[in-house]
Amino acid sequence: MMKIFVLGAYPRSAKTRKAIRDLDEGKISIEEARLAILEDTAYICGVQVGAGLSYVQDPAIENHDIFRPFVESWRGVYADGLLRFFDNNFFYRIPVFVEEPDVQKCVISQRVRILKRIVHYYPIKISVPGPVTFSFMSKTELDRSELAISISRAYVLDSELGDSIPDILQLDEPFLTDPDASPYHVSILEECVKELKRRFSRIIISLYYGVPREDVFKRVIELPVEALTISLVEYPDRALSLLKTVRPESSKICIGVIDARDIKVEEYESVKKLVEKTIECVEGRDLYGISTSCGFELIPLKYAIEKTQILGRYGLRISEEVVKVRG
Amino acid sequence: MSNYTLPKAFITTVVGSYPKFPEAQEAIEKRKRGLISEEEFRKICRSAIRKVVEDYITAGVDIISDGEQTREDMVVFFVERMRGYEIGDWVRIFDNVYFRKPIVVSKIEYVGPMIIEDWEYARSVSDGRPVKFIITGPYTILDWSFNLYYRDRRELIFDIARALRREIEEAVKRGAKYVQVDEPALSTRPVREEAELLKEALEIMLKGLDCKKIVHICFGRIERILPYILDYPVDQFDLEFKNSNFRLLPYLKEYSYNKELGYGVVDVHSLKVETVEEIKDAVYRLLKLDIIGPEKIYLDPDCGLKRLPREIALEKLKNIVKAARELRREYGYES
Repeated sequence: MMKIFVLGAYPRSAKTRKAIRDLDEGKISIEEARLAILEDTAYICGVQVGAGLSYVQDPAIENHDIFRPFVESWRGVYADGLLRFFDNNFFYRIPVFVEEPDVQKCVISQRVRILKRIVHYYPIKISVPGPVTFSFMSKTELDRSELAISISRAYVLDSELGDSIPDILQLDEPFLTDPDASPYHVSILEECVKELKRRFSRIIISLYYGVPREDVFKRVIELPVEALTISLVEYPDRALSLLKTVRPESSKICIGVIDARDIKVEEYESVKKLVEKTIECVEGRDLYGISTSCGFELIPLKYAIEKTQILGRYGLRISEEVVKVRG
Repeated sequence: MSNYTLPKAFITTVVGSYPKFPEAQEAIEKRKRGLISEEEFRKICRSAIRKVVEDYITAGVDIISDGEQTREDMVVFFVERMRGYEIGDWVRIFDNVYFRKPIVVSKIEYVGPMIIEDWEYARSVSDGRPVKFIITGPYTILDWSFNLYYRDRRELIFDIARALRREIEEAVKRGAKYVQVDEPALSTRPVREEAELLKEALEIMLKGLDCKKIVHICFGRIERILPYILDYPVDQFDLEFKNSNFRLLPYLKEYSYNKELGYGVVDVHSLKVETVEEIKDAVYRLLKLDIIGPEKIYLDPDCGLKRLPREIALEKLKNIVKAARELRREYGYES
């Protein structure tokens, strides 16, 4: 059965934005702010379940950016000035690693525990910054390959200390779609995956915002992970051509077909066509799944909800009309 | 208005924005809440524009700006004043800071002057110094808005370009000599197709206008788009260098850059004030490449100064001006 899921974080509701602002200004307590975050989290989890998605993606409402929860929970790293996050009109605070990360508070396991309380009957997916992206988008004097491996170890330790494991751990590696990313970076990721596999049995690697170079993609698909997601939204022709050249095993490929950075709603036929074209380009017939192109955090919440529901609806129809027919 | 003679080399300038004065910030808030009219808003902001200009004159900057005191945001300000846009819901920029990302809901059309009044007011108090007419470019407006109307983004960008041209034409008619188009979004997607799309839009916007035409691009991977933008219909590129540690310099040589250059020599994201020597060293590095002479070099910050405290912004400008004066003497342009 083709999997259907959202790739990343969700935006905050107006109530939560205000609660966080009030917290920063000392007007409310941290418990009150947490309650607002929890309400958003529960609502969004409910929407994903209602849409029939295969996994409940952690909405990561409290994240200011993908790195921040870890930066604030580890010793040896702090958040510095703002830098543009890839091609978005959105800025993250640059993590500065002065030494290898030392886990002080658990992030992954804390998230898993909260989500399991909300949807204990559903598989939980937590996305974390891929160790290569984390390392190469930070400032540091440390060796970046060693840093990436120590970040992976920190994720493992987080999960061990907190005694919780997500059903799926997703490594967000948008850095690998950068033209400067090379097989060298994938070789670092390979070492990181070895570390992570000690604790996390199901791993997805997520490539978004762009299309990786062929030499990079060829190496990534060889990694021993459950699936690899690639966005077909930004540059569909380039992505399809890459798939056609490399011809990866279809059961490992998940394609991003719902544009999570745009509010325009995709038509069913155009999404279906993308899936059909992908199947023509890969080896085998059954794709691992379809997903959003990336997280929803850069569009307003109401559109994120609408697109979540559309993803579920389209996914179901596509399973019936395209994948099963061909299978 | 007295005459102001520009130096023959190492002209100093600014990219555009300046730290917001409290009265301008308050006026923006009041206007948003409908508490004051557009006319009252402009009137209140004049005092802020005057203070910006006074700071520029104190620092000794040659070509100045209005400090963009009326603009709450470089895209929202313009789209609120064009037909075809609706102000959308909140979208995050960083941390818990959000802006209302505009949505294109119908055909884009020019309604009437947007920044001309601010520019004219700045000019009236500039003591004869030229004031750049600075406008957000069509690519950045396209990229930082949602589109629910146009099926083809080419049509959308060209309609934005046509609307902006009307504004520029009016400014040139009223005497604007320096027109700068800000395109920070371009460097975030540094691929040939996007650079070529902007080129077509710039041709619509700027073709045949009698003024010095400038495009400002900052941060991101400028070196990647450099080969595709060199034939843009402009006289000058104004580029960020300092923040990226002058990474771009060898590429200017590689691609035989020969237009005028707005050379970003101070970092607008750093509170550290660059010394005169540091700024001069940056110029020596550029001159050493032997691609353009001092007459084609304009010294300025990497980008707008709006995020800096006023006193830091002013000190940075003062050091740019001091460095330019010393350089002119060293290279025989002033005694």
